[in-house]
Amino acid sequence: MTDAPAAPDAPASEALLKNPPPPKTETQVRFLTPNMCRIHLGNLGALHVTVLNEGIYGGVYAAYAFPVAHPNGYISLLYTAGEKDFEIGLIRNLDEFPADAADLVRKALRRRYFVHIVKRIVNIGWKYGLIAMDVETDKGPASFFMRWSSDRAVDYGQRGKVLMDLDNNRYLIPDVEALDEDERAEFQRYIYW
Amino acid sequence: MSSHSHSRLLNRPVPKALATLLQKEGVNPGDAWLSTATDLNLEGTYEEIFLLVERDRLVKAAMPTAENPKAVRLLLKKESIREVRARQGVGGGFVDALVEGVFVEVLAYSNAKADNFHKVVAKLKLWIENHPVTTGPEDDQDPRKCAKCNMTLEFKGEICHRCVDRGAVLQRVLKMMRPYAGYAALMLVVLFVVTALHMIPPRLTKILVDDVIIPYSKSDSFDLAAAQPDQQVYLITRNAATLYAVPLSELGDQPADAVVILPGCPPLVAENVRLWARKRDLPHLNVEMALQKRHALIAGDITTDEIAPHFSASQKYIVRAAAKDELAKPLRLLMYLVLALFAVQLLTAVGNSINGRLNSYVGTQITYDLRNAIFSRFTHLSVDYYDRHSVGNLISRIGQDTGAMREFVRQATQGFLAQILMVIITGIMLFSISWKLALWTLLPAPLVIAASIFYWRRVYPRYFRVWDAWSRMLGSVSSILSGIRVVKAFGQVDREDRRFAKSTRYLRDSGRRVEYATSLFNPAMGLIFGLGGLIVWLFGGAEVLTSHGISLSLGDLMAFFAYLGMFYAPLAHMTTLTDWFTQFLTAAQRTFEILDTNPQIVQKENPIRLPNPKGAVALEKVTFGYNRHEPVLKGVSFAIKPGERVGIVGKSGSGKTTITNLIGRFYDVDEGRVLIDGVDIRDLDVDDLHRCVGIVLQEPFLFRGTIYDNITYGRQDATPDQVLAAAKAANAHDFIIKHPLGYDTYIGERGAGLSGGERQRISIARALLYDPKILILDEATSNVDTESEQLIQEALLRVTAGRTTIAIAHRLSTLKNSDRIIVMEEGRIIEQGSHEELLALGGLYYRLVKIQTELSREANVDTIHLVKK
Ligand SMILES: Nc1ncnc2c1ncn2[C@@H]1O[C@H](COP(=O)(O)OP(=O)(O)O)[C@@H](O)[C@H]1O
Ligand SMILES: [Mg+2]
Repeated sequence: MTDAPAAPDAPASEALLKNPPPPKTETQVRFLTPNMCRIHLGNLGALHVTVLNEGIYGGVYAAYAFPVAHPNGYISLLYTAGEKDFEIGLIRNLDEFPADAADLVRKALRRRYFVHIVKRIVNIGWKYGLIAMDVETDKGPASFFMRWSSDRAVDYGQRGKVLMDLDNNRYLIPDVEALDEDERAEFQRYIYW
Repeated sequence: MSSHSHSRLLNRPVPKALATLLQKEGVNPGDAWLSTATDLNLEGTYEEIFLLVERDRLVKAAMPTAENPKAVRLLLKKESIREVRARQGVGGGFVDALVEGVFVEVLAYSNAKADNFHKVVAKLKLWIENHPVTTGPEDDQDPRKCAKCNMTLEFKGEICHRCVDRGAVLQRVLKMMRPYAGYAALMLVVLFVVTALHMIPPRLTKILVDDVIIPYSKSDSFDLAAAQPDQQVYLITRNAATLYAVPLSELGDQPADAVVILPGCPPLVAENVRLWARKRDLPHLNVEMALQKRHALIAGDITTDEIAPHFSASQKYIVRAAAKDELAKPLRLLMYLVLALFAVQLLTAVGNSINGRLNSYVGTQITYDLRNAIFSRFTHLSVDYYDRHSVGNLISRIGQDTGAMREFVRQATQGFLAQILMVIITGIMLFSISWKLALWTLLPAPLVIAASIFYWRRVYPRYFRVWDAWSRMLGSVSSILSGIRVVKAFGQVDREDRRFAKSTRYLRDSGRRVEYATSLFNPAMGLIFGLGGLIVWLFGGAEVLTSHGISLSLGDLMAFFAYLGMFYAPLAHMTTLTDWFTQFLTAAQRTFEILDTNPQIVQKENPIRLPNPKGAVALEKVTFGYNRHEPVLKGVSFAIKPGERVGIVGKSGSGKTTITNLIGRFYDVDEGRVLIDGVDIRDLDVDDLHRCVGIVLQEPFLFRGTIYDNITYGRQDATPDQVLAAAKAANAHDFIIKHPLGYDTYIGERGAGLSGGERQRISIARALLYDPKILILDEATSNVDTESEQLIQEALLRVTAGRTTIAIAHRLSTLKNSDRIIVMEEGRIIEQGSHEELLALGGLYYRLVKIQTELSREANVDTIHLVKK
């Protein structure tokens, strides 16, 4: 066995043809900069990253390192080889990149993080021993049930909360203090932690 | 195809409009053997998008939009797809297809559809490999959804929150109380009696005031101006029962048995009457007093009762009060009434104490029963339950929720029933005294109700924050203090001070919020009650005055006040009833939820017994994951012969501990089988299984107790000789004997007071003493120094002869005595064979050995250091 990380039962040799062996980023941070890499769309709309003197990575997806503190930066770009995911590198700040590349990354992030951002709490109450909520979100009105336990409503930064319903769908209240007085009082009646 | 062979989810018909468009674009939805819809598009917004899979192509379709003018969004030929996978995102996931060496996102789904698409992906995998694949109604079954209402359950087998109806919960509570029905009936009777007793004192006081105190006390309240000058002297004849208002001049010759002088009589007249009375030998006439005290006087051998009918109500008092000969009677009455009041109070006290006692008996008994039931359920639940529930949370169930149950008993018998009874009866009393006044007093009632609602909605929930702040503060203290070495080592003392200050500040602020609110609420409540009193004073007082005590006497007024107090207080309580009741029901429901949770791992009916196990272990194509859709072991198979020593190596996270969890049946496999002596362990008797498998866990757990207790945990009947032998073999004896109390040394929570290696050695001793046919050592010596480990290894070799041993280790030297070594990676077995075979193979094991020998060469100094210690 060599140092190539692809598992022995890597599904397709052509995957390895296009995805070159990963750089030595396993123990070292590599920041991607516009002059060393290009972010573009490839076949069938898959996100590709071409790194200078290294190769093209296909089927790339993006993940936040600090989703709360740095929503515009410290974004990890990853791809899959065999059964494992590898990090191509991190983007320190999206604004360093050309607008169209940054836009592609933002779209990828939007896809990966499917989160409803709660604009207004219409109703909150008890039902069947669960918390029932009607909210207005950036994706339209939503009603859901969540279990009443602290691991289902977790802190999002200093002032926000992420709620997870029975199906693990996510509802983000970016700033609880910013809610309307009555809504906040009602909300904190149930989610007081 | 008949409709019942269709899957609702995987043969979902395409809407007509879309179907028409698709046909124009050359796709016939009828050709698809799989047709399903997702709720998201790849922009991460809601859109209904269909996935149609035909014999040799896959089509993604949706109604055209501005950006996507076509109905067909994506079309992939089967032969171009190399692999399909479901990839988890955050809040949703993706179906990816490997096309031309790149994973392409085919579609996105929200978590609500995750299960559906995991099924779809499983089918697509078969499809691209040209295996036969079908869809049918069985695909609609999701053990994670309630079969009745389709609500998502937390885990399979959980009872559906929506489908347990509240009535049932209440019924169960009542059923639970059935053994105490006799007590409950008794409590109700006592309660009724006590409530009735409460109604008596105001009645008695009314009599006391109206018929005793006021008539016989010296009243100054008579309106002098109202009496006519010529009507101030009355002559009374017993026979004729006549009454004269006598002009002064006529006094002389009138026949009379008594004479009454009303207050305000001019002194001269009074003196004349006195002379006149004395002449006639009529006693008891003290004119001076009459003049001084402005008090009615009666002269004559006559009782007030005889005179009374002739006077108006207010004059009556005066007349009565004057009859000196009558005073003995009111005093006696006073005595009786006070005695009666005392008797009532005594009975009330007795009743309350009986009820309190019954209550406490039943309440504590029910909580006792419940706690035991819950605890026993806890210990019987499978290990996976504790992956999902925090222990702290469960502790509160045993503590608080059963407490809520007790509160229910208390409230049911002393609280709300009593209060309802009280409100009704006092209401009747109020109206019977004066319905007009009663109506007035209802005026503040809405305020009382509103205020109570305000309290429950706005003030009470703030207590949650305070409690939460409390536990946070305590949590931060305990975490900082237990990590005090880290805090100091990193020089963060000041920061921790500040952090603590922050959490106490949170406590202070949330405490203030509550107290500010209650300090507003309580006086406001007082004010409202006061208002009710004031209304009674205003209207009731006026009534007493204007009616001269006829339609409403002073005693009535006082009784009214007394009842009013009893009326408002429960009213305030009753408004909280619904909130209280919901809280109780939630607690009860949470309790029943635990009692109803079925262990995922259950013993089969008529299990196979295994009295003399041989010790063969086998895994057959085992796939297992702790979480849905995330397999940790993927198709693992191996067979271990009785008495064989097998080592398992692999990186951390490769699934080694998971294998031991499955052999010990802490979890059941998702696919495949685990066999012991050729029997699927799911068919085995659970006790027999645990009797023949002994596990030394990776994280040794010791209970609070003595070392001896911990070693004999699995075999309380062990003799001291056996305990010593086990401890010796585990290389634990030497350090134990150094403790002043030896094996009787008391160790704290989780083995506090012992080093990591010492704890491991005790837990090895515990397993050896248990004497299982199959011994599993999960990194059992990872914290033990190399030399001790060598000793333990040698001892193990000796004591485990004839036993099946599975040893998991990082340090490969630990496994040198193994007959065979299994190498794990990413949940699969990648190599297996003897040490030599694996070295010859030159794979992962070879690399691990190489790395470790290099490391140990460098680490020699440390090793020597350790040994010298
Ligand atoms: N109780 C659990 N719940 C969820 N995931 C778990 C649990 N225990 C282990 N895992 C996961 O399963 C994988 C294998 O773990 P384990 O068998 O403990 O590995 P190891 O080989 O180090 O003993 C790891 O990725 C781990 O995160
Ligand atoms: Mg482990």
